Amino acid sequence: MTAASATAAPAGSGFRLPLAFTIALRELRAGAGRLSIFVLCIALGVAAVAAIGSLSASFDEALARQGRLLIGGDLSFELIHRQADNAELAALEALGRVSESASFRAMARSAAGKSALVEVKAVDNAYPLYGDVSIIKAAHPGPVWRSPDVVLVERALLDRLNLDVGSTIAIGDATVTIGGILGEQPDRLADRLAYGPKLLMSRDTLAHTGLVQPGSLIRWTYRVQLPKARASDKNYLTKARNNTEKQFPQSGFAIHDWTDPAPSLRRDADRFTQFISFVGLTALLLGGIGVGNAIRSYMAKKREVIATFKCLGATSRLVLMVYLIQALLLASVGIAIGLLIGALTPALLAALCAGSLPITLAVEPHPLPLIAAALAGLLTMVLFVLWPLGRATSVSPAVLMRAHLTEEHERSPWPYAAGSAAAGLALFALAIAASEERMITASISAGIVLAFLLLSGFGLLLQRLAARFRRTKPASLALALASISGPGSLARPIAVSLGLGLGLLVATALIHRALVKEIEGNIEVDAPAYYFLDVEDSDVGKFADTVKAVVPDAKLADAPMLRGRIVALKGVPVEKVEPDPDSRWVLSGDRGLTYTDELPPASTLVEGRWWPKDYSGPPLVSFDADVAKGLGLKLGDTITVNILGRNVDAKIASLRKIDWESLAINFVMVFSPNTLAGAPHRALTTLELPKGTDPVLEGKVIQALAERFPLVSAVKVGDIVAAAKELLTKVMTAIKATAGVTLLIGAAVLAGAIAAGQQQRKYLTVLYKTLGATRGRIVSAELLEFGLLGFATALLSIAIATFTAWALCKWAFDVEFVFVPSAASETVLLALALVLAVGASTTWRVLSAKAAPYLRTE
Amino acid sequence: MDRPVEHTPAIALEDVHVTLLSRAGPVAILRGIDFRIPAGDAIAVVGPSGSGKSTLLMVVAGLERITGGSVSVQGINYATLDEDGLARLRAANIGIVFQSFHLVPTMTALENVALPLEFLDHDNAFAASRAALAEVGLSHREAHFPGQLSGGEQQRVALARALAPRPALILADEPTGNLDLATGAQVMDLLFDLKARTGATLLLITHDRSLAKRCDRIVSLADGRIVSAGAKRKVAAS
Repeated sequence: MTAASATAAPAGSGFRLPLAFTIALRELRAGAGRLSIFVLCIALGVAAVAAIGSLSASFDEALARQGRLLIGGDLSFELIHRQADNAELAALEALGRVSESASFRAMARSAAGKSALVEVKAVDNAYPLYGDVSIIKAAHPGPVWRSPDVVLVERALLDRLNLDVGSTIAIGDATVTIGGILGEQPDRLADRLAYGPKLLMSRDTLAHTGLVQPGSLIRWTYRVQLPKARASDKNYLTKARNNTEKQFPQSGFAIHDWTDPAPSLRRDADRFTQFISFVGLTALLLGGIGVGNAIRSYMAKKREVIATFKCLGATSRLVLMVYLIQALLLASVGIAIGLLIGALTPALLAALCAGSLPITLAVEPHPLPLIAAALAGLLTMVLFVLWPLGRATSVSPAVLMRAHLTEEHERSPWPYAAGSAAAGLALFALAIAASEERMITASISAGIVLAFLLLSGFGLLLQRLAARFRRTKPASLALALASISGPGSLARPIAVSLGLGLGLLVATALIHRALVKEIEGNIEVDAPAYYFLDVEDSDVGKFADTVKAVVPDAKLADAPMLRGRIVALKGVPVEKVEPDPDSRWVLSGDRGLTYTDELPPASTLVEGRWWPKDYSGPPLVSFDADVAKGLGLKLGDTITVNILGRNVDAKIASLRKIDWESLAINFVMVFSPNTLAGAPHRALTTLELPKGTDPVLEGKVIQALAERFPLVSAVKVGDIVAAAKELLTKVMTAIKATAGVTLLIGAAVLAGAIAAGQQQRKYLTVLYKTLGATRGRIVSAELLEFGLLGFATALLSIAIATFTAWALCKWAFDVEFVFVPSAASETVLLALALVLAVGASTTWRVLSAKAAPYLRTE
Repeated sequence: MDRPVEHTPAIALEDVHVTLLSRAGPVAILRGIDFRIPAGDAIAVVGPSGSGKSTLLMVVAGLERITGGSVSVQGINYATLDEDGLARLRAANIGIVFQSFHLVPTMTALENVALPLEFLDHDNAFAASRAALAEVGLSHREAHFPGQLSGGEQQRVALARALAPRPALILADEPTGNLDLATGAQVMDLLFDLKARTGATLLLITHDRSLAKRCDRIVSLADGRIVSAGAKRKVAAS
């Protein structure tokens, strides 16, 4: 083409993708160092979401895969209080090979007179149908527990009673020998929460103990191993369950199969994962803010290059494509790193916490949660990158010649804003679609966005406040306030990046302490010291006498106790009922039941009337008012409870408000005496010792009771409380760990924001030095700036967290909220440590800046 | 367009006004500029700071929109083109040389020169770029990044980039402003040499009167107006 024959350029397509890709790569070739924060923020956010999703899938997979091991068979049929009769047994044996076991609590007594509560499992010779019982230290090789009067016990019992393998202990009426230390055994998830060490014995040994009595609180489990051809057929499993229920409608069987071995545990794990997912979403959004900051900073440096491109003939679309491709390439790297971390998390957790987990996690990668995390990462990137890209690509090429044209002149065209908004909505839609409780997810997602806006607004407020007071002394403070109030202020980045993580940590700490305080407080005030199970009705008086002979001021209370399972509400089978999540526990498994002609202690009638003494009409029941509401039950409704193999229909005669925190004897369902008095049962007795009772005296009471009533089990409330506290601590630790990840991402975002303003800081430092400021003054100003912002952010986090914790304690947990100053002060210190650490490294860099490059003109 | 090429001026400005908005109110930068430059001529635009020289160049380059009048380059009225249209026109018809070079720091000399050719979907962008670099004597520096080149070398690369598409029009804004005298003279010799070889029209913004005298005509601007259009001069062959 020559000058003489020049014509207008062809209208053409304006750009072609390969050229945009080529230019994008050329630009990245110089290094994406400034965008390492971009990659890091995406990686951490995606890692958080991927890890949570992978862990949940891993747990579900493990439950499904190890189902047979976890329940000890292909199917399990459970009865309480009674064994299966001949017809029932025959029906089960028709399905396949059957193993019968009995589980209950009992007291083990040593020859020296010490006693301890143990969780006994007595099994037949078919046990175990799947898996193996591991014996850590055995007197003889092989299944020693099958020998008569030989048992396996967990090491904790040996430590508690100061015994060893070969020692003897008394259980019930029998004296047995400890044949080995019990290790892992199959069907451990089928066991209830254990209050004592486990003990394994044979059915023959059980017969010698005399512990099987009418009404004893024994759980009989029948595990079935189906023929190989049928074992994996889910349709056959369902048919077998349904046929058994149809054949024995009043049996009261609780049936599980290997496809869903622990539904309550799975539901609890799902709820926990749901909660943690909100933290993951917060982490992702926080990472997105870091991404937005990084891309804004990067594009600001590219203004001249973009203007040059346009001068040379590049269209706006080509320019947008170049930088969008760069963002996508870097996001891909970040997403890949995040997915790798997320995919490896189950394996890491399995390796680190093998002993503490109830099951062995399935550690191979699960595609679905990883795909969801990748999509979430991509949407987050688009949400935070599109707007600044749009603004940058609207740079006028005249920027090259007009120095007064700053970024304020550039506006992001509306399609980019619309695109960002669409990505944001898609991200939340993804979170809501993946959740089981969509309304809650939608509310909390909105809450997270509000929290970000609140923190951002707070940062703006700090800037305004600093501007108000900037003319102050000393000079270091004035410099600090000028920096806080001026362009490039770190007020908003610090507030947003650290505020949420800190708030979450404080809220978790406050709630944890409130719950622990509640538990401990109730124990100290009025809780009984012991519960005694399986006390014979006829022995109740002698029981009290034995206690008072040692501690005359001891208080005892007793109530008849059976266990039964709710099978229908208002005639509708419970499988078809959709209860409130908070009341679902009442329908899963068996519940304790009692009868009395008086309103129990720690209960208040809120509706209906108590039945008169000697009532002899149709069965009546008094129900917990809160639980009734959750189950959709009202006064006059009928519930059907299976007790000892018989379905009992009872009408709700009253609703009670129960003070559970008192730990006094109380039950969700209290029946009129005529309903249950004829059924074989035993008593539950509580013992309250006077405050300050000598532990030696307490030990004497327990020993005396153990000797006189060998069939009675003593549950120490302190042990239950300790177990509850330990579980609570574990849960809170997991929550704190995810809050810690949020804080880590916040620190990365903060580092990015500080790096973006580094050049401006260096320039100002050089200027101050030129004008006579000493290094000491400059350092003081920098540290004051970071310190003030860190402190202010910590205060806001504490305020938000305190309010959140108070609201949750009041309305969700119904416990007294107490503000704990140490939680607040730890947060302030953590915030200051983080901010000052980042600030100190920044200060060191700016102090080293040489003057010439900043003061010399082009 | 059926206009005979030899009668079509390279640049035609008719009653061009440029008024910019500032915090202090509207500021008239160009006030009724009338200007025609025949194809192949070299025009120097001189004037004091703030006279509107750079704005005039930006208007001709399509980088600044006028607020009155009309601008045509190679017979194409700018009012008929949108931003992308102007960009495409620049790529094909206008080479710009800046005082501050404005090379892309993350691309080599060769890649910088190839850029406008790539924007034009040129089939042999890199071959043509190599030839352009050879013309300015920098073949041996084609793989170097701008940060590895001296100021004079950077400006020669910028020259090669401006001329690689063989544009009809070259705009140079104080091309020697950031160079020492000797280097500046070298660069200007190169510029005029290339201009002569390609037959391009040259619009040169400069403070340097000696440089201005190398052009066919000198146009003086003051306060946004042409104060002297200058008669066509006979320039001695170099």
